[in-house]
Amino acid sequence: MKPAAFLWVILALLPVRASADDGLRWNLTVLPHASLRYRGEGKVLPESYVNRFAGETSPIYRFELTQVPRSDGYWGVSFWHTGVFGGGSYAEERVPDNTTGGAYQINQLNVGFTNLFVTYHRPVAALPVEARVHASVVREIFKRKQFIVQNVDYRWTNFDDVNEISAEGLGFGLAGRHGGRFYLRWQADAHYYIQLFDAKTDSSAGQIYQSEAALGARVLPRLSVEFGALWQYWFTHSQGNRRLVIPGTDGAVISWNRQETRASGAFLRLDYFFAGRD
Amino acid sequence: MNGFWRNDKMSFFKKTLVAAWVMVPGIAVAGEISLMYLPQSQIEYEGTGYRRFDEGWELKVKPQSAAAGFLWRHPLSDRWDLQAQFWRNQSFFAREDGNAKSDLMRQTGQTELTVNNLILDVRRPLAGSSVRAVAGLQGVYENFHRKEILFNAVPEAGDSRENLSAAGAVLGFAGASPDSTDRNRFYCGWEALFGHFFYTRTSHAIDGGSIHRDGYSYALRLETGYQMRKWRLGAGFVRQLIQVQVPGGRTFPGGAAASLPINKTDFFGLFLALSHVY
Repeated sequence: MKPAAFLWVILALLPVRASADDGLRWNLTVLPHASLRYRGEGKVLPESYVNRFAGETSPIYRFELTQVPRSDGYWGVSFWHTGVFGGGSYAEERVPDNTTGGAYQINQLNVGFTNLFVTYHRPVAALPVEARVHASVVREIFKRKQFIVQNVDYRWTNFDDVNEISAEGLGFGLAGRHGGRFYLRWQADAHYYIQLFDAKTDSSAGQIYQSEAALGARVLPRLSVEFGALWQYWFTHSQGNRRLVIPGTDGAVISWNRQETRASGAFLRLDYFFAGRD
Repeated sequence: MNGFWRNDKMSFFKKTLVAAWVMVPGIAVAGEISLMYLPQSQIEYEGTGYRRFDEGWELKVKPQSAAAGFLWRHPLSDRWDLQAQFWRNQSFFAREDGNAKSDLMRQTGQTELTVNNLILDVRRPLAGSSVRAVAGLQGVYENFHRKEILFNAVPEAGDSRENLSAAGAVLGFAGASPDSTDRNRFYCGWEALFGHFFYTRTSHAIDGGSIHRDGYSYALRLETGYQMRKWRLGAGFVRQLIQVQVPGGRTFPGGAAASLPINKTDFFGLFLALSHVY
């Protein structure tokens, strides 16, 4: 699906849900050309410890629905997505060969994620800043295709694979909005993860750290438009060293024990209030 | 200062008291000064990741020892507080183990691990709540002294001293019971912080590997006790995780690991606290 089509599907659905409850606020953030950098390390001996990923460019979407901000706290939920479904691209992943030199494996990889955050917002006393507590379920998705393993070219088979890691976590953050019709908005959040449903991996499952800042303008009484930048760091554990059978080889590496994913880019955000602003 | 802590003629408990005696008069205007002593804290270190040598993936050492914490909280205004806390364990050599293909194909040795953790933050209450939002900076310094290494049943010559350092930011929350009164002199307090390291460094860096930047942390503290006028006597639990990622992977001449890229240190235990309140 093209990014624009995905965006319009979301936009078309918004009034249906939100207009039924005149006390909500939604915002949609789109990073049309986010940069995703991924690194993996793991027990895939004797061939390698690490991978090399060229890095991809993919759109990132974030849709957030909250109650209207209240001084005694309010709730919100946000949904993040990037990946092939949202128009993401593939880039080359290489696995160096420690035993013979050169490349053990070359394939195309898209790194995506689908993350859900439930957030409690509460203002800090006498400051235009709010503190945030998050509960989240996150899922990182790795789509691989066009394998060449130990010089066996397997691309002609259209063989592909999807590997996923999920984790559950808690997070703390701060966010501020300064100004009136024209304003500066920022937020920073640190989430710590465990893996409730993966008994074979360490219970400590990593971290997501997010920070963003934007300049915005209230173009209509209930609608604001922002332009800003976002940076997200994600480190997560998994069992790793899963391989796919490819005849005549030791198998295609499709998972690692440790993974680090950085996503960053410029974004455009629409922020709509269904009730009057504070 | 490091020489003072390494002085073998004085017990760790006495060193802690001497350090507090030296430091307290210099900050006698503080709102609260606490000294925490952990008679039997647990450190669990696990290093994983890329290495120059084509064997081995992880090292673990889990010493139990005394530890100490020092905390100073100072009110900057009616709403702002400044807090500094520093934690350090008593270091001594303990058995370190690497993963193994067999009893003869593994790394064992003696490792002395010292963890220094400094957190400096400001905190301010949430609107209509006694809970405080926390934002601050964190610095970590860890020393590893490895010796008497046996790698695949062959002794390694010499020893290795690695220093890890990291700096970053923390976000979180803290709370405490209201000030004690003549009728109720019990108090309790808590603190939960999540952090991200933007800067990391090792003295044993090499080329290669994949995941070697950033890191993350958490710090949890629960405390309760009894207050008599300006003094508190309490007990509590502290747990801290420090994950530092560096371009490690250096080896001894025979191939044993002298550093690793992904370094996770858990520090936890029960403590006794003596506090002076202003």
